[in-house]
Parts: sequence; structure tokens; C-alpha cells
Amino acid sequence: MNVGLGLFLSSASFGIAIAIAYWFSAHDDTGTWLLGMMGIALGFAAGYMIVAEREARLAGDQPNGSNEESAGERVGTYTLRSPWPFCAAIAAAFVLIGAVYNLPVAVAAFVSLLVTLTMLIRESR
Amino acid sequence: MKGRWIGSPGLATVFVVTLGLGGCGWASLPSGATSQAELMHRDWTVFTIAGLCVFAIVGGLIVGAPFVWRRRGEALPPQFRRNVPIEIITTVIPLIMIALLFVLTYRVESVVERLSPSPSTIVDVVGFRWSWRFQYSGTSVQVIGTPKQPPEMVIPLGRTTRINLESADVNHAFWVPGFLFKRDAIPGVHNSFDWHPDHLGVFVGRCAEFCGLEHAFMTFAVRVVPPDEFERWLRQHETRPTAYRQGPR
Amino acid sequence: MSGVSTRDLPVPALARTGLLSWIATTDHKRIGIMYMVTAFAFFFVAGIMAMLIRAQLAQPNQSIVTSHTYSQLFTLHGTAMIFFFVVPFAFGLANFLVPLQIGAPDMAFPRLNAFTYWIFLLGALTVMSGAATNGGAAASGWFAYVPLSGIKISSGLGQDFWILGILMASISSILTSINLITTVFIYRAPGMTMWRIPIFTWEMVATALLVLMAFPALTADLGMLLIDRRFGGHFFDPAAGGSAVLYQHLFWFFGHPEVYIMILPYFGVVTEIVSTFSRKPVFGYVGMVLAAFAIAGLSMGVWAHHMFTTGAVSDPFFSAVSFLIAVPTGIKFFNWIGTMWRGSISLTTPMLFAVGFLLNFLNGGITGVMVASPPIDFHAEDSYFLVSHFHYVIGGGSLFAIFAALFFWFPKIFGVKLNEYWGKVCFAFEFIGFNLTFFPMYFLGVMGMPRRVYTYPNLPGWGSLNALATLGAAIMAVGVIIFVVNVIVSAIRRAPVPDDPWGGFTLEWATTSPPPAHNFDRLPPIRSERPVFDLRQSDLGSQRKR
Repeated sequence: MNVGLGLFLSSASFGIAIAIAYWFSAHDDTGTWLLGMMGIALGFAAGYMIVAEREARLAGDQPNGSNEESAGERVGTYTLRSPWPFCAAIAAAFVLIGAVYNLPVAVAAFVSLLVTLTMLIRESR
Repeated sequence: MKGRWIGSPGLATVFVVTLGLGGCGWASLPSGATSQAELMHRDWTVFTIAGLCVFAIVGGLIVGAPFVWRRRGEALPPQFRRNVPIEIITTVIPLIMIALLFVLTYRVESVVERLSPSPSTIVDVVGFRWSWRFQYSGTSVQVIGTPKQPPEMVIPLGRTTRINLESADVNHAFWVPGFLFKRDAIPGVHNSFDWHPDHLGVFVGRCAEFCGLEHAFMTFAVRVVPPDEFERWLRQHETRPTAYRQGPR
Repeated sequence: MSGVSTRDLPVPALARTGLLSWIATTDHKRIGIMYMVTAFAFFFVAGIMAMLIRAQLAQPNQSIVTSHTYSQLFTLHGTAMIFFFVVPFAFGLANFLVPLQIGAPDMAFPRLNAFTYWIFLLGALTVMSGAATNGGAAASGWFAYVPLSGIKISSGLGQDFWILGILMASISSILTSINLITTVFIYRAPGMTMWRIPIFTWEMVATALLVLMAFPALTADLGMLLIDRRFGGHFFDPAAGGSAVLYQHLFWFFGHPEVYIMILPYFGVVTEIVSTFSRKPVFGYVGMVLAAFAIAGLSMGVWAHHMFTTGAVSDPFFSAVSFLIAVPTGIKFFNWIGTMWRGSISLTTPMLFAVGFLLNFLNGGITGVMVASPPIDFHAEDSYFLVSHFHYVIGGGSLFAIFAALFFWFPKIFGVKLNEYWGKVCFAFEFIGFNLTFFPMYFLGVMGMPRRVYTYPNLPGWGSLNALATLGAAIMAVGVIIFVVNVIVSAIRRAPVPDDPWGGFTLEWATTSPPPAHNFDRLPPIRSERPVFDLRQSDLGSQRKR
């Protein structure tokens, strides 16, 4: 059982346990919901790690791993620089501000955000 | 070596001064003019002593270690990583300490929060921007303050006064430092607590929850008087109401 | 480094150097630098606000600034220090260090990383721009309790900008945390098992987990506040069936973990520095890791200790769990002492700041345990006792660790070593100035001075204690100026810096100062939590054999 799974599983159990303890100690809806939802969300993460990462064999997890052994393996494509994160941030900011004060601006910014997301996807192909 | 000149003695000085002044800090705590406050004062005392002891021991180790084990040469020191008995002790002892502190806390708080079945006086307090209104329940006596004319609540010595606390607008907090006690006034929340004063005197009160521009001026006073004087005051104000109207600042 | 292919995109030559290259960068090192520099800029801004606050409070009954200005000052001081300095600096440091410490070429999601920086900057600017609006910036305190922050009383744009800016900063933190956790789980170099990663990296994993658990409550809370303010909502309006206390529950469900988000990275910084300058491995490595997660977990269950005086929460539950947190924190303290025990300690500037951290955080931690007791909190809550407590842990704690980190990793990040003598002078000013500023506040609180007051009456001792605090703040400011001059002069002098100027233990010291774009030309074998130490020992061993 890898460390990540252990982390999420123990956090999820802790969340559920403290939610139950809180309910019986304080009888407060708000806190119980907050703690319980937190436990469930962590449970989702634990579930993902069980189902999707079961077969993962990471070079980092081999205690006697050496660089030579894992050399040549294609891990991914790194884009060294990209203008789209900056553009996406500006678009996101205007979506938020526009949502409160000026709906057309928010819509335009949202469209720009979709465009930058498209560019980001195309970039790493 | 310059590091040692500024470092260890400097750290040690601040450490020792902190310890000494910590005790003085406790001494500036109001002694508490209600029976509830005396209990809370005891809580403060126990925690301060425990805190100073922990600071002395742990702080002493922190300040002492760089001096005692200062680097003397190239040789590597023993490279140990674990000491299971020590790790167990440093877990168990703090656990015991906080368990004891919690028991003390729980006991004191239960008494402080306890509501008497038959308080002799009930005052309905409303906090508003930026003063307080005291309404003596069951009478027509009302005191309304302004920042320039803080309201004064008169309560009898040796009897239980119930305070019912509410807010008319934003969050305020009703704090009497001399009673070591405050309670928030939050719209929609009705708070009640008891005071059993056992010292005469005038005790200043302040708002302790930021509520706007005049928050710093939202003072009031609580005057503890002998019971017969209190009765007289009550009767006097019933026939001749003194309600300060809220005026311009 | 194994199996990484990088593709240089057809970006115009403009963006390869200069300002545009920083705007388009996805290099975790550059992003880390941008975070840390921006955070430090906000430290200056919030620090100037603190100086104005201290000037106003230096003597009773002053009116150096108006009450409205004063409210904006303390609101923005708190907001900027917490959201735009302490936390982003930690994330910036983590951005720079974590991939290096685990032997990775970059973070898992480099472009997401860049996005998180820019949205953080935009959020911070949005909050501060409130000051330029008609009604001024947000002025209801850094926690913006309703009803004070509601539309009826805080009717201006400043409060909206505060909400929107914090929402942007929250998005930044949440996405950074996803990036951090993924990076540490997936991109460790061969041999770098989870139980060999440096404690700083572990603390960042715990911090990231905390962000994921806590920030959603904040975004929900602020979203609801925005709806109440601008879209006709009544979530927090008791007259319409809502609850003002609900705001506090949601806020502190975030707010308490937030203070641990502000300290856990710095526990990591202090651990690395104490270990390096005691020339010993971390004592109780496993205990440190377990304690970090115990603190993180327990911190989710203590939020209403900020609400003891509301009369609306179960005090015993929150008091008990709050006391419990002292135990794993104590374990960490004993492990730091254990690391120094029988070590060979050099009181370099980073080590001085680390030891100062330990003493200050011990102080603040003890008063934290005190206010975890409701009967004590009934007097201390919202008084200067509390102001002192939290400044001891954040200022005496996190800020000192930030200085420690700067002195320790500056050579690695910039290839410039800061002057040691002036570093120690800076420490002296900071340590003495800090304690002089905040220790008197314990007295003031106990004597009855509430927090967030524009001014105070001329009661015995109040004026002199406040004047002392203002003097202390001035001394701290001098220390900061000394630091800045140190940076400028050292940068101009620019003596070459070796890979490992301090005799470090962890992987970042196995590459040049500053590292190349791809981080490592070659990695040493990783067989323990101190790969560079092991490499040095084996080099020494093979030298001796000759």
C-alpha cells in the first residue's frame, strides 16, 4: 500500500471519525456537515488511489533505484514556456469581476478563458 | 567568534527577561470582582505557572544547546536519529499535562456558565452602534448610552444578576475586564450569563468586537453597590427615568 | 535526468529574454522567485501599514489618521500579511525547492503553476485597489464578519474587491496544492522513496492537503457573502432566516487550518536549517512526519475556539481538541532539540533566525494553549493578549523562518551569498525589536485593551506600553532596511557561490547555484534522507583511501 493511499485513507477515516465525535459532543449541524463532507471528499481521493494507481510502479518508490535503470523512459512533454497561463489568469480575473458588476464583460472573459484552455491543450500535443 | 558574541548571550537575555516579565504579566491581571471571576483567575494562575515552567525548561534547552554544543572543529558529531524512550516520554508527559489542564478548564467553565434558577436582578442588554442599552427587566428602568456619555449599569453586591445580551445591528462584545469576562452580542443570538459580584466598585466595560468607526468609544461601566443602595437607585429611576438619547458625536 | 523530453515552442524571440520571458515562463524556479519577490513586496506594504498603526497607537487619544483610514489599515495589514505574504512566500519557496529536493526536473503541471502565480498577483492587486475606490478599501477586519461586511454597512466597492481578490488568491492556493501533491507523489527521482524526502517537502505535502480541505469553506463563505451583498441573498441575515454565526463557522473552518498552512512550511524550513547547522540528521524523522499530519488533521477540528465567546458553540469539544494539538507540536519541539543535542552547532545567520523562531514560537504556542481554555479566553479574546499571541506565532514564527530561509537558500536561488555579519545584525534588530513590540501587548490585553481600537484612554501604563511597542516596531523596520541593503550590496558584489556553501544535506545542494534550467546535470545516488551528505562522506572516504 503506497504512502499516498495511506495518507488519503487515514485522513478520510479521521474525517469521518471526528465528524461522528463532533455530532455526539456538540449536536451542531454546520460542523458535522463540514467535517463529514471533508471526510467523504478525502474518501474519493483514497478511492481514486486504490482504483487507478493500483498498478503504479514509480521509479521513485524503488529504494535501490538508479538513474541508469530508469533512463530513456518517456515521462511526458514539458512546454518550456507558454503565454497562455498569463492570459488565462487575466481572463479568470475578469470573469469574477464581471460576474458581479458587468455581465457582458464576464461572458467575454469566459469565452477568452475557453480559448486559452483550447490553446493550452493544443500546445502539449 | 562574532556569531557567539551576538548569538547565545543575546538569546539567553531575551529568554530570561521573558520569564521574569511573564510573572509580571500575570500580576497585571485584574483580581476579578465576581465569584465567577475568582475561579477564572485561578485558571489564569495555573496556566501561567505551567506556561512559565514549560518556557523555562524548553526555552532553556533551545537557548542552551547552541552554546553547550557549539562547533569546535571538523569532526562530525554522533549521527543519531532516534531514541524511542525519549520520544515516548516527550509524547506522554505533554499528554498528561494537557489532560489535567483540560479537566481544570472544564470544571471552571461549568461553574462560570451555570445559570442560577432565580437571579435577583435581570438586565436586558442591547449593543448597538455605538453604545449600550440596559433595560432592567420587570421595571421601567432603562439606561441608554452614547459614546460621549457611556451608560452605567448598577447591580447589587452579593446577589446574582442575570444579563441577557443581544445586538441591534452588527457583532459587538460585552467585556468587563474587571470581571475577566466577555460575551459576544450577535444579531440573532440570545446570550445569557450570570454575575455574582463580591466586590464593590466601578468597573469599566468596553466593546471587544470591531463594529465600525466608533468601536473604540463604545465604553460602559458597571457599578456594584450594596443591595439596599441598589433598591433605592432602582426606585429612584423608576419614578424619574434617565435615558440618554443617542446624540450627535 | 531520466525520460524527460522538452519541446521548445515556436514562441517569438521576444519572449526568450527580458520581461516577456518572465511573463511566459513555466520554470518552477522562476515562478518560485516571482512568488517570493511579490510576497516580499506585500510584506513591505503591510509593514508600512503596521508602522502607521503603531504611530497612531503610540500615545493615547491621538488622531494621526482618521478612524476610517485606521480601519482600512488594520484590515489590509492582516489581509496582506496572511494572504499575500506568509502563504505565497511559502508556496514560492516550495515551488523553487520541492522539485529540486526530490530530484525532479519541474513541477507536475508547469503551466498550471504559472497560472497560479498570475491569478495570485491579480487577486492581491484587486484587494488593494479597493483603496482607490470612493468608499475606500475593505474596512471590516481581515475576517470580514457579517453583518459589518454586509451591504448595508460596508456598501462600497472595497469590500467586494476584497472578496473577489481573496477568491482569486484561493484559486491560486488550491491549484498550487494539487500541483505540489501530484509532483511529490509522482516525480521523485529513483531511490527517493517517500520516507527519504526532506522534511520541508513532507511539510509542504501536509500544507497542500490542508489547503485542499480548508479553502473550499472559505470560497463558499465568501461566495455566499457576495451573493448576500450583490445578488439579493440572505444566507447570513437573521431577520430573513439566515445566520450571522454561520459565517463565522465557515470562516473559521477555513481560518484555523489557514494558520497551520502559515506555519507548517516554516516548521520544514527550520527543520532543514537546524539539522544542517547542527551537522546531524533530523532527530525523529518519522515522528516529525506523523506530527505534521496529526497537526494538520486536528487543526480541522478546532475552528470554533475562535468563537468561544459567541455562546453559540460547544466549548468543551473545541477546547479539548485545541489542547491536543499541543502534543504533536511539542513532539516537533523535542525533535528539534534532539537534532541539536550533542551536535556541532554553528550560529550562522540562518541558524540564528531558526533558534529565534523556536523561542518565539514557544512563547506564542504557550499563550495559545492558554487561550484554548475558555475561561481564560473569556477575558483574553479580542484583546491585545490575543493580538500578541498570534503575532508571536506568525511574526515571531513564520516571519523569522522566512528570514532564515532567505539567508539559507539565497545563494542557491540567486547565486549570491548575503553578508553574514550584517545578517546577524539584522537578526539582532529583528529579535529585539519583535519582542519589544509584542511582549508589552500581553500586559495591555490583560489590563483590558481591546483589539482593533482606533485609540485608547490615558490609563496608567497603557501609554508607555504602547510607546514601547511602537519603538519595537521601529527597530524591526530598521532590521528590514538592513536586510534590503544587504541584498543590494551582496548582489552588486556578486562573489561566486559554490554548489553547497553551507554543507547541506538535501538534493538541492547537489547542483549549481543557481541551478540550470533542467535542474540537475547528474544526480547522486539516493539511499537515505541525506543524499548530499552521503555523497560528501563517500567522497571523503575515497579521498582518504588515496
